[in-house]
Amino acid sequence: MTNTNLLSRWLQDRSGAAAVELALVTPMLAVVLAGIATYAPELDKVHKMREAVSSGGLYVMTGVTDPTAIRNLALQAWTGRSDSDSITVTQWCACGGASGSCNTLCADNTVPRAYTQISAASRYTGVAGVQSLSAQQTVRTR
Amino acid sequence: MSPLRHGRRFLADRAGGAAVEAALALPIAFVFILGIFQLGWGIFLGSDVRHAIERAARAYIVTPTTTDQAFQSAVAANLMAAKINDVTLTISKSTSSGTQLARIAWTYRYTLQIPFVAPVVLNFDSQIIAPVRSP
Repeated sequence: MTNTNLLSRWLQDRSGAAAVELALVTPMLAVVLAGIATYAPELDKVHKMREAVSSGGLYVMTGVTDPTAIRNLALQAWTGRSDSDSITVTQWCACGGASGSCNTLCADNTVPRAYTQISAASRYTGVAGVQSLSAQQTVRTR
Repeated sequence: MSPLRHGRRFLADRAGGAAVEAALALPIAFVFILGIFQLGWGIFLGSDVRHAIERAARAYIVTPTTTDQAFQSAVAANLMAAKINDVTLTISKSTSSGTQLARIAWTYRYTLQIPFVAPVVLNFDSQIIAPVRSP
């Protein structure tokens, strides 16, 4: 039997087709399931992180300006936080579109706008490897 | 024709094979599709509860005299589809640097109802801290 003959016989052979189909479909299903298993807890973690940032934002809105107090409150409000998760509070002022000093008037004699930003950073390890997660909220305080 | 030959002929008959395969595969496919629908709906309900609580928490800032009872009613009113009975709210008050704080810890349970599959319970939980402005 020639090689061509053997190949055409193999191509015409319909036995085992179901096994081949299964082999094609199974990896796709496995990827879908792994995706669900990975992203559901990740989404939950992102939501909890955002709530911590929101809590900090609400605190700032009541007039609190101490960055340490804001940071501590956001950390307290973070459910399921791990030690490597962090909160950073940054404060700055702006005149028009440019950043300016908080203690002197702007060039047009207006009071510079003041901002407080709460940023959260976290990591999530899933099937897709380590992913960086972040959330932030900026509150204008003046 | 003897019953034995009848059975052999039936087993050797390849007609309708696709229909038999479909009958085997469709229930599994339905379970998958309904499972994905249910999971998506469950995640939506979890977000619904989260959003309702975040919105209601603002009442503590805007109206400092808000009672915990009024807060719970506001959460119930904000819910779009989730049932308030499945939500557990624990409100604790404390004071930090002169500001009164309301810590709202919550849990929400939703049971996925998927045909042929044992009930799967989704548990959501988180907390938010709202400052209570002094009246």
